[in-house]
Amino acid sequence: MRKELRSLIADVPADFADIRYEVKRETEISFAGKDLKEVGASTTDGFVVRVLKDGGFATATVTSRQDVPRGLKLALEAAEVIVRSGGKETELADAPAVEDTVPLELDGDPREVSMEDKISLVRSYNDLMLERPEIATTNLRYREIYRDKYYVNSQGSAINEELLTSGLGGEAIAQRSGLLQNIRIAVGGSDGYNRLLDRDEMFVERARLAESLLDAQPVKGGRYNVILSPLLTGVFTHEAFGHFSEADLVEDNDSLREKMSLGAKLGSDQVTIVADSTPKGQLGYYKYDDEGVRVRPVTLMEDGVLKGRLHSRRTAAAMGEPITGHCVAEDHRFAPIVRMGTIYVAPGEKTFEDLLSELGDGLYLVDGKGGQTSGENFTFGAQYGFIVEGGELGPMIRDINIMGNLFTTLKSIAAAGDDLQLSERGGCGKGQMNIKSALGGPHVLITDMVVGGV
Amino acid sequence: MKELLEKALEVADQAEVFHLAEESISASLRNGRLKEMGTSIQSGYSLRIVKDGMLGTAYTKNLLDREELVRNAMASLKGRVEASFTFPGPDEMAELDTYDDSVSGVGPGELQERASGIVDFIDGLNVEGEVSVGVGSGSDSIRIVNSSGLDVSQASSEYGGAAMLHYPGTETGIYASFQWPAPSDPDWGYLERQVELYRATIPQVDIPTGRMKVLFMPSSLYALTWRLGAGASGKSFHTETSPLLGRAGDRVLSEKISIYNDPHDMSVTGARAFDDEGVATRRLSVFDKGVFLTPYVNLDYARKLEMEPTATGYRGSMWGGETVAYQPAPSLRHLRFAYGDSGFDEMLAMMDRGVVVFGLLGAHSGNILNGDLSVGLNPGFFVEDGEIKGRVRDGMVAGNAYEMLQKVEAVQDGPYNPAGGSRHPCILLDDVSVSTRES
Repeated sequence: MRKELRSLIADVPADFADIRYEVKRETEISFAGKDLKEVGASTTDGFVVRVLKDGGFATATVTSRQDVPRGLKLALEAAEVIVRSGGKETELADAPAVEDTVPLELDGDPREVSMEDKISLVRSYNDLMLERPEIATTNLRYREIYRDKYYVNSQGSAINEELLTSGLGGEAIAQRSGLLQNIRIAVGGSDGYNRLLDRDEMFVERARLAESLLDAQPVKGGRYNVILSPLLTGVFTHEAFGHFSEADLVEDNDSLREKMSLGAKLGSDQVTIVADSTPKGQLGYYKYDDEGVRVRPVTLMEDGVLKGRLHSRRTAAAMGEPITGHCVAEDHRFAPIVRMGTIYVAPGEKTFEDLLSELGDGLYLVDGKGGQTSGENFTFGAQYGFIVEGGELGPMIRDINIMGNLFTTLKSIAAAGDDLQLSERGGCGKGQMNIKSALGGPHVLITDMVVGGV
Repeated sequence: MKELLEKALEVADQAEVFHLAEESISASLRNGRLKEMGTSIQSGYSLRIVKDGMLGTAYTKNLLDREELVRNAMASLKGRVEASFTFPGPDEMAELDTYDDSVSGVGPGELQERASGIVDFIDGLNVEGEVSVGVGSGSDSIRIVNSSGLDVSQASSEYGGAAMLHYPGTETGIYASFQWPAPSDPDWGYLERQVELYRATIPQVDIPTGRMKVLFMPSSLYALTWRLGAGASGKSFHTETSPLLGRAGDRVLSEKISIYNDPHDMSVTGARAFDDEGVATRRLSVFDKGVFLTPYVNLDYARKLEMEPTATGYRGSMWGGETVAYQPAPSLRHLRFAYGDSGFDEMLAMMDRGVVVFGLLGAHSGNILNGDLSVGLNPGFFVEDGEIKGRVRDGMVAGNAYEMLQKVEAVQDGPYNPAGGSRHPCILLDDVSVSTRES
């Protein structure tokens, strides 16, 4: 395949060209309540080409091999229009030419597990939740995505990397007297099928939590000091800071670039944030990004000081910073963009009990319910929480969403715990979905957060 | 497609082939300079078969091996997903002229010129902050053939874009969007009004937490319609988890609110003569003057709930994804609000003190099925004595969609954005919880 890809871009009249071909096999099993709604496995494929000519940079994605020449022609035409119109001049930062093959390393290959066994596993977890007395229904979905990626560029790189992610996600919905409450469920990763086995306790516990929410009170809106659970710290870090560490979001705004210049003190002394997709066995693992650059760990913030940024070859050249290997596409339908991969707050030294004591009065918020970023503003939801009074956990609360601003909130992190947890499932939609966006951190204490409440 | 259908029917009792082909080109400009251009040429096939009352599904992008696709669908039968419905046969379909051939000629050069025209117009208004402009043009064609003799197809075209006006020194701002079936200019008057709104909302203001009037603009209404749609979905009725269960005929919202699905509305792009299961589309009233009328369904839930199909079975999700990979699910894709009788300025004048929600963050985070929402203003504008005073710093709006829509003060008498994708009106609500940094 790499030889064929080389031949497809061999005669492109450009300063640089690359091509990615990808085969994607997706297996899905979904339950809605007791109903098995969907079972299937399907394969898709497609090509992505990019060209750089006289500073004009353009892309095309095509399904069929026969459309690749047309895609290249349109991309070249677009690159010429960018140059002719005085558009943005693009350079690509130097990257070593790489020839490599990266096979999967799995603890249990789900492709070798029969569909019947997979259905049986999902059904067993689903039934465990439905057996709970106040669980009205569930939505539970098994999803396995295998990607076989081939990348070739005109500078000599030729890489084949396989990626596989499998997981179970969904929700348990509890109901009493017309009130509905839900709790999300997520297990999975990039390291194989065995991670999904023997998780009965977790599913029962999530169902119990959904039932407990029927007795919880809606949080009262206002300003609070809060402790975030490790996974909620991850959502907060991803939304409040992570997106702004993606260079493509700041490169064109001069005033923001100044505010976000390396060395700027943006957080409190307690905040160290790392992006590291290199450890094997965690959800966000990959070796090469979708422009053939090997990913490396990046310390984004150290003791509150901005230390690094995540780049594509284009943004690294534009900002004069080193490449990091963070230019990633959802699949063969998309040109790659800068994505954060695995991001987490480094643990501190305080125990959870220390943090509760330091908090005194406030809220303890647990587990992420999605977040969103727009510019420097962000929100993130918590699945549930507890009122804390005098350092003691009190009544359970629900309907919790938090809003903040990048430039004020990071300075409000008062302490970080000594525990670290990474998420098992991802799902960041920045124009295209990234199912490998792992996140996490320790418990953290943050002051002065705006919490929306009914 | 016919060949694939025939192969499928060699092993199945019923079969359906869905084909989607799409082409698009897009350009983005920042501060007047063309930054990126991209082209996409995509296609895909989805196969559904029914054998002995069980459903099998498979999809692919390149139809290189028809037998493999049938084998994949046969393999999925092992899951024993029940399918008690029958694929629809030929029916009388609306004749909708949704394709304009001029989109096929839009290349990078024309796209750049049209985008630059928007930039030049905004430059002429001396906007204080940075400006981003994105434009795109595309077309798609859908064809569905099935074992009941259905063979329908529809082509559609679309040209559209948006100008984002960034507040000085930030990446946040407000935008003005437009969508047409063929290459055309934006509504310049609307764009000019959005620049005026932008100017009025550059100052940041701090307001106290409390309950007040809140005006939802069309770009933020999805937080409410998402929750109503989840409740009215046939899926929620089948699982008996809908807050609307047993409420058909009851007034559950203000009588000022009527919501319907109109796939034949040609004033916007995306009109459809049939849904993604080949059912002939029609207007469906879901809430009429606040009274809940009916759930909406796909073929599967129509059968389960023993009701007639509502032609609202569509493939896809809010998060993008591969269309052919999704199975048809109930969807109010063509949701509309009936217009009221108040102008936008009149509605502002009704606000002694309140917030205008232009955009929001976190609509997906709440307890959607129960109708709860707690969303960040992005941006939201503070109004006092009918006058916009500035944009709210760190504000949130929260409540329950069903309860919020019982306190409707006014519905706009037409679309806020005459060129917008939804043509929704603004809706003014009373007594809504707003949380900020100030107590």
